[in-house]
Amino acid sequence: MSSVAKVALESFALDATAANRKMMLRLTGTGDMVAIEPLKRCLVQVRSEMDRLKLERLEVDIRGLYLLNSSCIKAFVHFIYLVQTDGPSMSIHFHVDENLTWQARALAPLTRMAPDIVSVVGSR
Amino acid sequence: MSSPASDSRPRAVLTITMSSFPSARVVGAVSRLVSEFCHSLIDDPDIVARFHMAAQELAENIAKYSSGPDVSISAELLGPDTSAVLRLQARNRGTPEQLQDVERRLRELKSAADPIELYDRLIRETAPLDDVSGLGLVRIRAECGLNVDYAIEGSELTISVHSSIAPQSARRVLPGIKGSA
Repeated sequence: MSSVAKVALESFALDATAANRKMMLRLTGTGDMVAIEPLKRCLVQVRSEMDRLKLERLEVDIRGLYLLNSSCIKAFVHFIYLVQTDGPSMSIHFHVDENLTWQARALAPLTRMAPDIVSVVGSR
Repeated sequence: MSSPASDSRPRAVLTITMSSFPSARVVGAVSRLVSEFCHSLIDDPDIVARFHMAAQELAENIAKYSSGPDVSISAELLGPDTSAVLRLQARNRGTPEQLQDVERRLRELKSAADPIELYDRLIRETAPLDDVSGLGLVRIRAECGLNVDYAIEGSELTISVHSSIAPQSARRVLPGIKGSA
């Protein structure tokens, strides 16, 4: 059971579930200035829970996102940096909607930053 | 990509002016309005998405770094169908320190031979920092492939983002269409 707090704002929502040695993080709505602080808090909790539950795989589903601003991308950059430097060790798989071409494009810098642990998976 | 011809008159214009600092909610509303305007002009969702992201980053920049409340964002379609250019312009006032900092970043961005390399370097440099982004402007050029230009006159900063639009992408625009908010 994950204790990552759910976020349900008018324009942005986030929920996390843990099962089968992996955590699934689902983001929906608009990843803008309103979303940044809840997202940062959530990512702190995700690292802690991945460590506590000894999970090895994080799946981040952004298919329901309408936009992801640079501050939200930066929050993921910082998260990946902390995983690389302090752990816990995990692989991170982003799920994007192939019809929304901006999603894979926005995440490309994360795979360039950490190709050994980050991947982007497209689906419709 | 071409630069907008200085003598081209806009065929369609959306101008949003504010006499107050935009809040986070207003920033989102502004970028959505710009996106809808671009969608009405361009029949290519991928290009519209690129300009939506650029509008969001420009509006956030204004919200974070303005020293005075008079700010504006405009979107314009310039030139004939065969060589149309879509341009966003964001105007705000900054302190000398803010302008010096943003000019340094914009100069580096404009002169970068490889904007993706610059983007990746800035990501590496800022990755350890929790409270600094600094990726908004570089993202417009590196990720979206849009041209970025700027001008500083006194305390006023104007950032322009533009791209040529393939003839088949531009929707037919009736003369004299103008929007304002």
